[in-house]
Amino acid sequence: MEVELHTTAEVKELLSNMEIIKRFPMICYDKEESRIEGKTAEEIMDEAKTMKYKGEWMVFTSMGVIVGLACAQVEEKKTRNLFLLDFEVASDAQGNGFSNIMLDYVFKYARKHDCQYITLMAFDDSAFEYWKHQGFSVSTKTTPRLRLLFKKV
Amino acid sequence: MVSKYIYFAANNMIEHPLYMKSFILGETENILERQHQYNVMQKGIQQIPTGTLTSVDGQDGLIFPFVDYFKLTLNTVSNAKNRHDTYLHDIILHERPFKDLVYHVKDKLLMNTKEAFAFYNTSDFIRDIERIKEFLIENLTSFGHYAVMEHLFT
Repeated sequence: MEVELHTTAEVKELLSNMEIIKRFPMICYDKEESRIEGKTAEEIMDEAKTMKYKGEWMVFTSMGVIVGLACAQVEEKKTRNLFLLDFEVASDAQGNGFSNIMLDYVFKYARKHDCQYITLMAFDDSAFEYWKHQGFSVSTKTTPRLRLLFKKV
Repeated sequence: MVSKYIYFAANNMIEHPLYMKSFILGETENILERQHQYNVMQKGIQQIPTGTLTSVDGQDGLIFPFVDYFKLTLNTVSNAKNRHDTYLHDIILHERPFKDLVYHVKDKLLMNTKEAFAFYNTSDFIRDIERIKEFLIENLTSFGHYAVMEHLFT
């Protein structure tokens, strides 16, 4: 399956289409039809804080259709890391191997930027297992990041 | 006497960071709205059962049983499963700073749990939540559904 990468600022524009939003429930943080009902795409995006991430968005298309979105940010800490803020295959495009292709792009991006690590947050069991399968392991850096996260509460 | 009461639901501490703004601070006036918002957000993960409770000085309000929720949310990371399932739960029920925050509820609506956090007045709440936060910050190695993962390039 051929996938094209568009590293672009068009993400917000693309996601202004409600139908596209519905295909990315994680990024738009809404699986509930009832909750987005009556709201404009812009309002939904405003709620989806991910749109405010400073990282670079990657739009993946196949046959002209958006099949995946990712957002990554290079972090300069003790080591140079790529923090994968978002990574999602469209709900109607799953099961076609797109995630592996997308991940290859992310890895290339990380290497291109001389990153030593890719870090991310696994949100649930299935995500945890997925990333484990992709060679990720629980970070020993968990505590500092969790502290940061928790302090935002 | 403090006229406004604030509920503290432990399960609200474990929430999607995108929704941190809705963390905990629900007052009695909008508590039902917040409960609705919360349930909608969490649907697909777990519907949180709720019950009503009358606080120590007669204020009616809403509480969230938290025990089952903790069992669910803190079991996400396999290698931390046992630790969190028993460790944090036990701490909440038996150790400071949680122990003195726990009310033992006899309400039949809370059959699935014997304890729940309940209402606190504003000053108590602020003081206690700071203690809880500090405690959790020092002790948690995963945060609700979250686990930080990494891949090292060799």
